[in-house]
Amino acid sequence: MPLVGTKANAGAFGLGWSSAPPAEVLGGMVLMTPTSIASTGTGNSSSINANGSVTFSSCATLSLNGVFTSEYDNYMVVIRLTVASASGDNISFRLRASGTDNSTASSYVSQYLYAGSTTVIGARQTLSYGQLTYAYAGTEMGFSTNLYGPYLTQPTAFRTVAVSNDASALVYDYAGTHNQSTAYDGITIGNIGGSRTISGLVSVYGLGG
Amino acid sequence: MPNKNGLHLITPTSIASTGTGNSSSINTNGSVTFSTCATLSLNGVFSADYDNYMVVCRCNGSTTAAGVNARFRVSGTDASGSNYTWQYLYAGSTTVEGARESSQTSLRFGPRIINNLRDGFITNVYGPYLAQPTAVRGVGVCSESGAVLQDAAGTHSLSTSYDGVTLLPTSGTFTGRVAVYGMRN
Repeated sequence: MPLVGTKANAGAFGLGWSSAPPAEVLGGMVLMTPTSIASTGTGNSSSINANGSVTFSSCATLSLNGVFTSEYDNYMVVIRLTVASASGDNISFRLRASGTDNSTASSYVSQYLYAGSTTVIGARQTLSYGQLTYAYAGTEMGFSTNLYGPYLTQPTAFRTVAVSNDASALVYDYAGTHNQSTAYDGITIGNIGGSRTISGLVSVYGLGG
Repeated sequence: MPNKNGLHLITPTSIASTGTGNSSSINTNGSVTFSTCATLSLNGVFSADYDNYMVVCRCNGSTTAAGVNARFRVSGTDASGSNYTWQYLYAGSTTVEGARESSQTSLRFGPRIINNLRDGFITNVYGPYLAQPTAVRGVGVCSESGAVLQDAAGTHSLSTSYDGVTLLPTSGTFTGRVAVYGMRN
């Protein structure tokens, strides 16, 4: 069974290769380097690391441009973050194309699943942005979100698997769809429906094939 | 020694599909595009090179709701005995529920799929090529009613070494793209 590499940009692999790496180090999961980033919020900062991940601090929103391309259908976004506030709130996103967020009303439907101790509940929300997870203030948390077909001119599906250290361990997952048939090349992340700022590290991986 | 990529896209040695008007093809990179398939079989995707695998699929169905089930296969033949058990977890609006199905002839591999919008899932398969029972865990999104969260966990009790898998919607057909990745040991 052959190993497959489809991206000539060695820097995107984060392996320190000065040219395209050999086939055995290429494969199915490729760290994407944004073509540019932008962030908002008082005192915010954000930067692209040498490997292509993005470090961010005190951001109301963080936009990653050029991370979705025709090279990959599906993507995995991995984030660790903290929320600076006395209380937590949802971490949300909008897909974007050519530097502009899609904020079409009611175009994002998000279904959550919460499991904390013996409480297991869910609910659905229809908004102008999608929900990724819920972050509790002051606690480090992490999640990965799979995006299915954001660059295709078809609706996009997404699915988050998250852990929060609120109460030591908490499940707060989301599944959702965005109904616009637009090819998106980027994503904006933040507490879009609120006023919290976030700090952490985000990486976007293209799933080869 | 440089770090090594941990996830390798695997090219099936062959594929097969059924269903009226179905089509399926292996892409240059090794993923498989398929359309209107009642079953889609991927041969030669599990090997001694890897213990564990990740299957990524974007798809949509042809009916109002169907699950994506799977059977393991070896040398082109499905294991279709009643040796599969699966547990699902569903969250749709405020309804959160689960159930277990035992002694089944296939197991739930992905979420329910419907005939509009986009559905998708990532399923980890643990040890299919090992001559031991196999475990499966799927994490999915279904566009039913806008968004439904549906996960599945399953086991196959036979200690058989499998080199392939057949995906089959529980009713109707499905269309999409699937890729199998080996996780470096």
